[in-house]
Amino acid sequence: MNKHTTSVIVMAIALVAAPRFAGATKYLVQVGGSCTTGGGQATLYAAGYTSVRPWVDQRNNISTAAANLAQAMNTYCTGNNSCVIATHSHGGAVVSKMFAMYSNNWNIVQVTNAGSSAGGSELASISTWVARVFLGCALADDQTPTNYRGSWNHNDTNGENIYNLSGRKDDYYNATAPFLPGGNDGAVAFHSSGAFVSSWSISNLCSYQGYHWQGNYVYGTTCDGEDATHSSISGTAQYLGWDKHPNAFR
Amino acid sequence: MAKQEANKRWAVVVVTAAVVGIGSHLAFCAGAGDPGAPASAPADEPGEQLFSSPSRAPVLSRDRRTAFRGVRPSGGVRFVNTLANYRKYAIYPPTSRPLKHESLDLLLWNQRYERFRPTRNDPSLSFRLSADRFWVTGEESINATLQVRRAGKPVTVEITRSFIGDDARSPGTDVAARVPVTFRRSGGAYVASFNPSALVHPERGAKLGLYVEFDSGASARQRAKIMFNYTPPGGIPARFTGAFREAIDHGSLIIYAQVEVARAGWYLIDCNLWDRLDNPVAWTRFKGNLSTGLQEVPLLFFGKVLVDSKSIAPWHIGELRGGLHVPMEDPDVDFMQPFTGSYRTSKYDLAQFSNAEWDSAQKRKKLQLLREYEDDPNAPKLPVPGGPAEH
Repeated sequence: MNKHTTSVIVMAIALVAAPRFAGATKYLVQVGGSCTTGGGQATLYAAGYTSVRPWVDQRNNISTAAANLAQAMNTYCTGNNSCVIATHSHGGAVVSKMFAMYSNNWNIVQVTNAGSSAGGSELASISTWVARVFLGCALADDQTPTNYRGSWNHNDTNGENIYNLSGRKDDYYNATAPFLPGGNDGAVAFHSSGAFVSSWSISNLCSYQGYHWQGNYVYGTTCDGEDATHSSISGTAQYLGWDKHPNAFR
Repeated sequence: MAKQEANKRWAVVVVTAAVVGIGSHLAFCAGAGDPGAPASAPADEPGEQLFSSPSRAPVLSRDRRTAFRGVRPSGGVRFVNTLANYRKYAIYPPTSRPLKHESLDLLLWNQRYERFRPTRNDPSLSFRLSADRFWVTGEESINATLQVRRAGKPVTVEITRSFIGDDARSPGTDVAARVPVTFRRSGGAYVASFNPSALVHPERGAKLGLYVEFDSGASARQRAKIMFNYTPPGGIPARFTGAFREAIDHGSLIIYAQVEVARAGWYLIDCNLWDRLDNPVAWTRFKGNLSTGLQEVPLLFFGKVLVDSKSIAPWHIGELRGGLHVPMEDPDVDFMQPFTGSYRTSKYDLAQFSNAEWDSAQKRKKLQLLREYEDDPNAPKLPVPGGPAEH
């Protein structure tokens, strides 16, 4: 075999073996909670990833937010680019709704949800005033378990790796405890952050095995829940160490 | 006979839901922990549940904190393997998967989730306002119930106001839009039945709120509200005609449901499949564009799901429902009248279906993505919870 043929073969092998997504941009997409709009500076970082906080309007209704996020997925997570998504609170609900409503062929590696309200929060049922104090703004009224569990199919997540974190401490001196069944982080109960099929009172995340939504869920929390409140688990920043800018990486 | 079979099937579903619900409620009331759980997930559960033991969350070691920043400590830390998880999940396609008795949200797809909660001024008094459905379509009626209790016993109250409005968030801004609803006492509760199509007239899907204010005599008045997703008769975008046909395609069963589409667009349609003994077998979901006129919606029940179910045909469908996605609206689905009938398939031998795992260009692309991610030492990996770092 001459040198020319050999080099052609080597090049061919290299082309076939080369990572398909190599050289493309890897994004860390950050989605906050109720009342946030996104945009602006991201606060989560990972080496080799470009951090973004896309515009996701979570002030009025989840439909708008899901549409905004789907648009962001089209921008960042297609072609040879890929995405890791990190959400907090209502951001988990937005991601869940987006997967269910849209045709998703996005290059998503994983989704990390911290204190997801995809299953709703009983605080939204108390009164408009209470809901808005504890859950945010006008969108707070919508976040009842019935409205959120009934509005979309939570089992349709396109098989994305979804890593759920559930906090077990609350920020509100137990003021919300009478309204949240079972373990909770002061705003969201385990039945939601733990992705269970119903809004039961659950104090042990390891119970009711098999009674979870049928997505590709991984539970990043021990059976008792994380030693965190709804706000301290936000964005997984401190938990996962994604809060240091690459320039300060150590 | 069909009705008796359906009733028997629903009895099993409702009893399952009740047993689990009562169990969790008792645990909550007693302050006891939930029933003991195994330390690891059942073998057939998709994804990887990595609970170590029912213990307190671990204090993160220095090695773990370092690991989270993408630096591999010398001791090693177990990370979630996204590639392995996805492989385990993706033996079936995302929208055609096994249906189990535990899939209560898919079986009781239109249930509500209100709970008893304490009144504002008297914690010993608790109440629940609920109804028999969440999605209300066309000329369907709503049956609502208000229960008020003290120490588990019904309490007599005076309902001072009750009305519905199609502006669920701000009824006070348009008093004229409020339509009175009358509750009557029935047993230990208060019930109301009403037909929204006779009372409110939105042009398309709308949030409908039911508002109730009651006075128990011993405390200040208590207010409650619940919401519905209502599609008026004129807003129904398509209808199931009741015509079906079936075929085996690439080793999977496809049941084609005929629909008459008035408004073209992106449709989301869900359906369950049951076997001849009324055991749940599979669920499927169609997401796609439908043009106006008579169309067929392919309800794909993946071959391997059927084979693995070891169920006995003929099968029959149930809980066929869905609607048109209207992005950025609230609600963002104009619902079709759910199909309350059924369709029974031919009698099949499971050997007629393929036992092959799901394969598609989408799946292969995802596997490639996850391979590269797992091989990337700097990628933000997710730690396995619980226990000390492995050495």
